[in-house]
Amino acid sequence: MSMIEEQLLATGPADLPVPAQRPGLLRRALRQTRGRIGLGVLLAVVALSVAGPWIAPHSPYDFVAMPFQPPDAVTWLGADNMGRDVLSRILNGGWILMTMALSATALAMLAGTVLGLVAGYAGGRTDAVIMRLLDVVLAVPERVLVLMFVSVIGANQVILTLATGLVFIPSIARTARAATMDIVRNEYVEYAEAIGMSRWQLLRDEILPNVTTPLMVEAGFRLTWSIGLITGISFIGFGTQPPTPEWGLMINESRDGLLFQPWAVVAPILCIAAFVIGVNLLADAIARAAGRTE
Amino acid sequence: MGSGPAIATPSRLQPVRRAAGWLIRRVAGSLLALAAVTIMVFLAFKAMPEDPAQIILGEMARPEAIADLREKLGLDRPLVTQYLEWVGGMLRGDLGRSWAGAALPVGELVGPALVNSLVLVALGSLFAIPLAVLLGVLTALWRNSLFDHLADYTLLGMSSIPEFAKGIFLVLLLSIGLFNLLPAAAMIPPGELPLWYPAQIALPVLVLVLSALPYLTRLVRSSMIDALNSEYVQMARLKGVSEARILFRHALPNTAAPVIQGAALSTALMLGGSVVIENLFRYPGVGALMTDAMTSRDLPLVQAVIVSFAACYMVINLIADVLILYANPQYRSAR
Repeated sequence: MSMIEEQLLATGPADLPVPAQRPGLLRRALRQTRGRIGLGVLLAVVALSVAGPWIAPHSPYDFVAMPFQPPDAVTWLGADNMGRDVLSRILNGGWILMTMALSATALAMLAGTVLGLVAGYAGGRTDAVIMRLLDVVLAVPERVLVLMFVSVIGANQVILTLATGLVFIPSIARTARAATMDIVRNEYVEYAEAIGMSRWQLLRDEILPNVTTPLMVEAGFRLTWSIGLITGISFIGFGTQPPTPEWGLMINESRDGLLFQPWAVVAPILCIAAFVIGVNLLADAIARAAGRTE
Repeated sequence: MGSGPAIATPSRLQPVRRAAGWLIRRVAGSLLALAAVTIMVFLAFKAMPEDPAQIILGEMARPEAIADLREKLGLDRPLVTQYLEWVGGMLRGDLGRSWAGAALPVGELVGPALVNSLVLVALGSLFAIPLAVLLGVLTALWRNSLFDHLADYTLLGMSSIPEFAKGIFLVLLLSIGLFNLLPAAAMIPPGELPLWYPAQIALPVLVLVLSALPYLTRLVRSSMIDALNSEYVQMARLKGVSEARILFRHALPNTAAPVIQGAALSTALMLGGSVVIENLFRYPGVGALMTDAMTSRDLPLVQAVIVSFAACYMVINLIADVLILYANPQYRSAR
């Protein structure tokens, strides 16, 4: 790419507010190979998780074989530490992780966007108070903060989902705030204020559509992160509780059999990895389409 | 230092003064955030539905014994007094006593574990940062080559596997499955520095390095590409400066600020990641200490660990800010 082209790219769209109805951040993301691969992998994992409970050969809770039974004709991926069918547990557990990760991200996006918009638009003292409060959340490592909520309220998947959403709020709020402040300085916002649009209307109709691009990028990365965080906390025993067939927890339960029956551990790891790779590739393609990297 | 003129003119001193003022404000801000963290932690555990005295004495305890212990723990006093005593104790280095077993002073438990965790994180950064700089510079120089694309997809794949899963794969590969090179659990005798047990800490450090590498390499690569495309590098090329000199004297120094910032972030992330890694490898650090304390409902210990995590976070970020300041040519020339 020539320097002039890069200059044009760098100064063009950034200065002009992007019209909200301009088609295709997603379409531009899917024009890239990585975007298409990501979407394909993601759709495969989603399909498997949604159809899973119907196509699973056994119940995820029934003891159908000896503990750590290696793969055979009855249990295609072998059995776990208690003799339950690994394949059936994987097929039944996908939607649990998916629901948790999506809810946590959605919660964080909602709260973070509202806080960021308000802070960026209001400025002054409101801005300072909101951002300082969020700094407190950022001052502790995410996982440690999640564990704090778990140790105060108790270990279960609802708490884990809420806590994961909460620790993601600051970074989303920062993104939303930065994007809002860029736009608030534009003349058309002054104009809209001058013709008497209410603040709420202005935020909803003018500013929000214009911060969606950076927020979509942020959402992709947060979804990736939330999967790692949720499965990690479940893995150390403070998230979903037995006998739930959640993938992170399954890895923990069958760890001791790693040598004799690695499938009980490797299969859920591969599923988590496929899920994250799909989301990650797609998020990366979205970020590139939005011009965040290079 | 000392090489400048004997009498510094005000205009030369000004940036230093500004930097000092900024640093003081920055430290004050961090301390305020840390104070806010202690308030958050204190209130969170006060909001707990269970009675601490009940946790210590168990379900079967007589009500009189519970009331007695509540008084002894100071739980009947106003919240503000309790908070100030807790924070005051921490400032004097007294973190209170553990509720579990022998009621050891919390400081004696947290101190060595914190050292162990920091050794782990420091080693992780020590290997990850140079490796990321090397990979990042090479992929930036050989942009769009096969090597670049290969590195890109490998790193993307690596960043997609959660840390604990990477750890399990490595265990399967290096300690019990294919090879039998490294121990799967870190057996470090209490009171000894993990640094002297390289085989025991190799796997946890490797996991941290592999986890930090994708983000750091991409950061180095993109700031290197920015630097190589900048006007001063184009200018240097036009003047006929050699490519090696351009790389080491012009491009690389200008990637310092973003890379230091990224390195601080990844070090901080490693500290957070240690919670899971230490559990996987049974490594005796603060992360494992925290989850053990959570299991035994040892709240003073959990609280102390959270606050020490926040304090480490603060220090890492402060060090990074000072280094960035130092790397900024504007301030360096003023010294």
